[in-house]
Amino acid sequence: MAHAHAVDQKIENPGSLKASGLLTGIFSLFVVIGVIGFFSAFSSDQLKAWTSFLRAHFYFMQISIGALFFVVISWITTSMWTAPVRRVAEGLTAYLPFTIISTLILFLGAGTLFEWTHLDIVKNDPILAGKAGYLNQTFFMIRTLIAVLGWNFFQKRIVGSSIATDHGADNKAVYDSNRKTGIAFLIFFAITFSMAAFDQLMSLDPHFFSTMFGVYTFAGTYQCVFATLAIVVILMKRTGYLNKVVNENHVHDIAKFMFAFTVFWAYTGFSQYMLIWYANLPEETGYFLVRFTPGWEWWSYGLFISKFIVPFFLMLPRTFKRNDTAVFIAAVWILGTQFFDLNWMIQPQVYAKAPNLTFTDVSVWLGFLGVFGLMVTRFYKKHNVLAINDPYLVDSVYHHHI
Amino acid sequence: MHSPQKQTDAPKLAGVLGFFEDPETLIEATTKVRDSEYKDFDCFTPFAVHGLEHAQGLKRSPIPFVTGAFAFSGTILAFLWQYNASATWWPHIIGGKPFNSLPAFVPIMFELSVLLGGIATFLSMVFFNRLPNFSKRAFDPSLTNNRFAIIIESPVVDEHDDEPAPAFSTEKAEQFLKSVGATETRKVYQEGWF
Repeated sequence: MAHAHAVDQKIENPGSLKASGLLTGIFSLFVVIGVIGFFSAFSSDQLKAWTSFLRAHFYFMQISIGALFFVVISWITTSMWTAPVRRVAEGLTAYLPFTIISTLILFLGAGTLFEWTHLDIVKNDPILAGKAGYLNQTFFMIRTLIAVLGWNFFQKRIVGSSIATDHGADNKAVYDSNRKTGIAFLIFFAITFSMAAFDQLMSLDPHFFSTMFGVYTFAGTYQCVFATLAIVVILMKRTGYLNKVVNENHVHDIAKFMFAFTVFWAYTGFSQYMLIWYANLPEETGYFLVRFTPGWEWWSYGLFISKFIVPFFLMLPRTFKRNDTAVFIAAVWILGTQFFDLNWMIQPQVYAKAPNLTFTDVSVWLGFLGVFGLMVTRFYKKHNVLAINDPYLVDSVYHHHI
Repeated sequence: MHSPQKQTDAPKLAGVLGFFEDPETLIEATTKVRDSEYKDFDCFTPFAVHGLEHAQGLKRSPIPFVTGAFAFSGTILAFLWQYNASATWWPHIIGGKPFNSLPAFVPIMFELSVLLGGIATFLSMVFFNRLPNFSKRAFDPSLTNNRFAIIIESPVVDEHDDEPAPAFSTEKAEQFLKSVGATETRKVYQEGWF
């Protein structure tokens, strides 16, 4: 114990990730599987291919942009406990440049996915005609591109200046500038992320609208960000990169957030459902009607149990939140349920009778996982996995809960 | 009413207090006291000292379990109450919804969980801290300002016990506290504390 709180204490720099070629090989294999899965379905069943693409595209986009949100929150609040794990979260945002490409590819599938892109249908549908000012292909492309380009701009600035501190940039200046940029990002993120959720998921059923939809998507996103963060941090702790700086109190904090956003996800999901159920307006109930008819009904209840009840009780005891293995299992579980949550948002619009999960759905997701893994490990290989010059790092090593 | 025996009674010895100047030495000393023969001891600090509860060997607070138990009973009670009220005692059709409308019950179930959990947390905190105690005094004003202390409590002597415990030597306790780094030691007496 002794007098370990000396301010000038040196933390050993774990350096950058020294991963074997095996990891790159596995991720590359995933990419190949994804490409094969997508194109094999593309020739026979375009709808299948595009829904799989949309789900996987949104899944990894939301984790990566949500990680940037977490990074920005830790800059703005100058939080102490996040100091050893912030660089890990910054690594998760390294996937963002690919979202530009996947968004551009998604535009090709817009005609298959979105009913409102067909002008003949819109003309004969007074509701869709009324929404045509917003839901038209040109505006959709413009605002979606602005969103992903903006996210990439903020990612470059914020993560870039964080890396600069490793090479001797002034901490105070970086903290000041990142705080200002971060606040701008939060406003931009709130608008563009809700918009992305509205455009890419909610507009699959163009007659439906819910102001809760953006919050609901964000709640699931942030839950997954902490799950991903927990997985990477625990793996890095086990392999000896972060074991000197991350202790059980940091894992406890990540698990607490994971728990909190599990509750928040259920809260927003239920709030959205209950008001629509209570008001019983025909233009709103269609969304839930299709999800609560036999075929999809069990999926809805299963989602509630698997994405809320199970992680809730798994992460409720203090001992589980402080146990790496328990947190790891809960994190993997949550990331799994996010797949089923996105499927619940996407598939009932095209497969109204029953869920339709095939090899394509899994393989395209695996393909995106491959790209995500390649880009994120490339970041960790290029940069330190720990923001070694962060002024809060030494304090954070002794992070302790009463 | 005037019991002569009471008046002549000297104030009862509470224990021996040892003062420390900084939290680090306090934690080191506490670890040593914990591992010593003195089992009844406590620490006084002007602010929360991280790691002290480990040094003292304190067990986890039971409050979260009380909170949990009351919160979950709140969930169940709110459901039973609403279910019986709207489905068995006074069944009315409202807004075309079925008698047992679970979604409408959920907000009340949630609120009652929070309410019972919150009240139980507060009351159990008061209970486990043995509050309120209007006569509690600080042994030394510096303990709420800039100094830290460990008290080694004198063992409770049961007068009806046939075989009293070995006598508590204040000199020995003071010496021990000095040996673990106390800068000043002092005998303290009960003033409505225990």
